[in-house]
Amino acid sequence: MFGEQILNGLGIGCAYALIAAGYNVIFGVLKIVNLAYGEVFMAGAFSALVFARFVSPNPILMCLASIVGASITGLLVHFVAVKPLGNVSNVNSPRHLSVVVSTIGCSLVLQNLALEAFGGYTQPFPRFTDGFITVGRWHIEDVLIVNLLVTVLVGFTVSFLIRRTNVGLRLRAVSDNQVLAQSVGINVNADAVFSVVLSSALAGVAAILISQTSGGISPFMGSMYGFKGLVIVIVGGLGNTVGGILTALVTGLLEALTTGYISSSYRDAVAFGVLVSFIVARYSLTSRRR
Amino acid sequence: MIIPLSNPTWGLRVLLVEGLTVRFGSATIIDELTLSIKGGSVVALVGPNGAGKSTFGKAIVNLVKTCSGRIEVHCDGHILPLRERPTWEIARNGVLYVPEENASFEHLSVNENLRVAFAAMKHPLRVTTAETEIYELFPFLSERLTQRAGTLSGGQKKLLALARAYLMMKAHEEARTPYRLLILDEPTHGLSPASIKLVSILIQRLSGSGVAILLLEQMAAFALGLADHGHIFRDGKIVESGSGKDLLSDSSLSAVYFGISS
Repeated sequence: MFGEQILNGLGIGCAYALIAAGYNVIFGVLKIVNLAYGEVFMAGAFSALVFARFVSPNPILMCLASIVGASITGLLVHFVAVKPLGNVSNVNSPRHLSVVVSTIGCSLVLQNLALEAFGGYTQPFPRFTDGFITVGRWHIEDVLIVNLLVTVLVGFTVSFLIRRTNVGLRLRAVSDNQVLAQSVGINVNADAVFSVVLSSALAGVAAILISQTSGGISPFMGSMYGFKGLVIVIVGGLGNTVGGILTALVTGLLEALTTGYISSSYRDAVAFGVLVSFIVARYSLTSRRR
Repeated sequence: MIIPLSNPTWGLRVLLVEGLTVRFGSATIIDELTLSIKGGSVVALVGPNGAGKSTFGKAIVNLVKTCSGRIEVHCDGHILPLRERPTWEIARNGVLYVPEENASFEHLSVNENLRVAFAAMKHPLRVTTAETEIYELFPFLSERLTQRAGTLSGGQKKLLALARAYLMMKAHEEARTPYRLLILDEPTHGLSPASIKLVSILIQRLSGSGVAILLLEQMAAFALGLADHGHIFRDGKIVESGSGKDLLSDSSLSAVYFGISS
């Protein structure tokens, strides 16, 4: 029982880790928190659903459809709500806060468009596999194993992209010092677009993983998982990839253990109670030290 | 001196700045400045703190907004106006500005700091000889390739930035970029006398290969000693021009601006 709950937790934690990584990619390059990111994730899930209904229920193609749908939505948000504001990355500029408002606006519009198109109820999402593996006394759902494998694969791919390729080096240079990056010839705007696509693609994969574990999707899933992801990246440290992944896994574990041992209705309350207490404790302790 | 055939800009005007004015609010930082630099020559703009030297350097690569005037690079009858171009495009066209502070990427390793210049260029380049030269001149770089630049000392970071600029200029030479101009903002600031010697070797090698170099320096003795041509700059204006040696021996000006006793 305990072991199964741990695996359940890791399965959902993986999806959170991808969302957290997506927030971090955009934050790293543009220095903004994109509050429409949850809606990008939701758009990915619905793109996959529409694709499954009208074209093909092939899991890999649905995943690609989710990535494409999320990327288009992410680019739309970028060009409508972020780019026109000019240089938003300077924390001291009023534009830095304006982008919070403009992305919230985008988020509301996208959510309402989805409500209009799909209705407010939860839609069943095709599950790719219903089987489970029995190891000793444990019954492990295939879905969880697929989630873990996909996350590890995506994690290594993104890490390779960021650490070992030219575009990754440029992104890290922009993240480090935007003015200097321009001065050595890096087209910051073009690389910002690339980072938007990369983070949207992560949201697209995460959307597939979450709809596999939850079994259904709704237009409200964007704000729910978007805010969860936001809390996770802030607890893990904005821009801190490893911190984000660890916090995501811990959140998944907390949720699974709460569901298993207390009640699923307390799931979010317990998980986020712990995370928020962690933030409060961390900063109140460090401020006392000074 | 042998004139390399691959350098069409040798001895010809590379940079032309005419009537350039920069204002921050109501304050005029650069006032109707006119200046030109030839390929393979070193021009020094010396002046006290707050004279507007850095602003001028940044204005050339469009890191600060300019009000009026012309900034152009020339080659073989071709003219490229820089004023409305984005900074990254100017850099890719061979006009490079090395800032005084924050000139290296703190979270990137030393090796990545050097490679980032090539990651930003259009064509993959081989500048292995230039890399060897860099490691010979600054042996500490080859010992610390995997170390984060943020862990280097202030002077080492500065030398790292200059090494990157050297590689980029060599890469532009290999790619036959028609315009090559290097703007160094206070290259000696915070460096030991031994390191300053290395910086002047670097500058001489670059100008020897046809690069036009603009030194923005407070340390007049260093800059004017290296420069073919010097300008004394104060309050956004050039107050005196001449060959580097002449200006350096002009004791009255030195005394007024730099406190060098004659």
